[in-house]
Amino acid sequence: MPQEADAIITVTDIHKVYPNGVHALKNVSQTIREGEVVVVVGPSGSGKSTFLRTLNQLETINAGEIVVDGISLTTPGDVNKLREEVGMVFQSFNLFPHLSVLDNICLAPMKVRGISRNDAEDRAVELLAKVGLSDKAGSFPPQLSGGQQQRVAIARALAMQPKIMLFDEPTSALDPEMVGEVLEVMKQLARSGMTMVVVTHEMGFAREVADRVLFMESGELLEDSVPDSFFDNPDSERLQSFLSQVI
Amino acid sequence: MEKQPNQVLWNLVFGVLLLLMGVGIYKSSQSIDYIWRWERIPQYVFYKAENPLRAEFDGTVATNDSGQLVLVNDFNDSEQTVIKGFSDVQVYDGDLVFEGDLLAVSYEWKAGPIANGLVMTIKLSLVSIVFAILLGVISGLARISPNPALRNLSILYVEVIRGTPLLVQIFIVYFFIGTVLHLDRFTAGVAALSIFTGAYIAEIIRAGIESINKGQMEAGRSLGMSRGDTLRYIILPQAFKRVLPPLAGQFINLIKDSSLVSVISLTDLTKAGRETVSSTFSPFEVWFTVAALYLVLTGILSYVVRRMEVKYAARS
Repeated sequence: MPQEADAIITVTDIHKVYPNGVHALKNVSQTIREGEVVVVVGPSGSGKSTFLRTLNQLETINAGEIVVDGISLTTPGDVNKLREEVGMVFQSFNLFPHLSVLDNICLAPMKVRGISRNDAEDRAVELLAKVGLSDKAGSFPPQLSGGQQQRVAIARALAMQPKIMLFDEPTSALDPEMVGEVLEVMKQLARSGMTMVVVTHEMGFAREVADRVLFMESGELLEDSVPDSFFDNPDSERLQSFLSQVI
Repeated sequence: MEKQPNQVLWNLVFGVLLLLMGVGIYKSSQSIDYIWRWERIPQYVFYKAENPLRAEFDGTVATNDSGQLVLVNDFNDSEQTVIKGFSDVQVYDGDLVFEGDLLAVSYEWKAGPIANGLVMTIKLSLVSIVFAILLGVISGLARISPNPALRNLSILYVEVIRGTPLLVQIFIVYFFIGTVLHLDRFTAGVAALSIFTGAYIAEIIRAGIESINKGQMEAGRSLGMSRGDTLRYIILPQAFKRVLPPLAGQFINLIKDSSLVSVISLTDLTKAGRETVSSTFSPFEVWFTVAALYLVLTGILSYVVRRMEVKYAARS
């Protein structure tokens, strides 16, 4: 399926049914343009994380079509090629605990992109400076705070120089005082023009940074609008009641 | 505060219990009129071998220019035997010697049957451990493979091996496979032991890999790394650290199980023990010695593995 001129992700009528019978995604369609920051909100179990994980095929879909950066995810192909272009940040960081911070960042560029250790380390040092952790290159993940770990995880994903970044509740596992430092890095990334899809409960972040906000519930995409109208004039009743609970 | 046991008192109790056990063993051997002959045992571990030099011809002992004793053939002066390097010379200058007479003796320390058996057990265990690890890692990985052929092969292997006694497996490997493929005893023994231990290692490896958080695989894959690379660089190094203690237990089992290969006439420590018993008639001393030697082997292994655990734990 051809993508629109500046569309980088096109999702058409996708369905996801888990083996245990849960219908996690129902008929979801969405187009995301290059450089756009899209925030997905919704109650837990609404399918927003599943939606995000279908975009780099950590979850496969049962029906519909997804095209990311010109690669169709429904025709058999090299899924690793797609994932090189799509970075992901997890709720539980998922840093590699047996590798130093520097090696966490260098591993994939060296093994996947085939660049030399020196070049990889140069880039890693640059990225660590960007996320404000220049002094932690030699530390191991268990020695870092949650906020620091998540910033390393962002640097690790960026080291692959992806075109798209996916964030799966990046601040949900953090102590409240560490949420700010991670959001700050994400804002900086958004300003640099990165295409981002962010699943989060941080409404302030959505309002400030998002180009569009999506609302999902029970596997359906119920609302898709710019932040101002999303928060000030919500269309659906369900979104109104959701917002009244979280804000 | 919870009441803590008195360290001195209970260590003392431990010591007394050990002492009682020792006395018990001594008393019970007395009650059956057993005569302990520990002095017979060391020669089966190491013994002084006699190396005699005998005359090869009739001759006379003389001293040559450089002061060495030589035996000169009475019928042919050019035929001489220099007597040197012997600790115990039995002849003197001028002695008349006939063919076959003892000229001198030297002694050297040689390994007895028990020491040879110990070496065989070590060799057998080391070679088997290497192959068992190879087999175990390969079938452990196959067990979690998405490919049904690999997965089912691995399940079949593990179930068949775990479900049959090692002794029977040794017989099958030696008499059936060994006959078909013309394996010698040692190869058959190594094959049986590594196939047996490999099945248990496979389960340990699988459990180790599955104990690593699913997020680690997802993180590796989301960076574009292949499944194989993620396993190799991310999952296995972490799993290895966790499986070290059960793996050590399995290696210790292998050393002990290696005693069963004596049934195919491999002279390992156990078979050497049996042979020594039949020539000394001192079963108690021999089997205690053999047990102590096994304990030394497994003890060294435990120690090495514990050191490795500490080393790896320190790194994270």
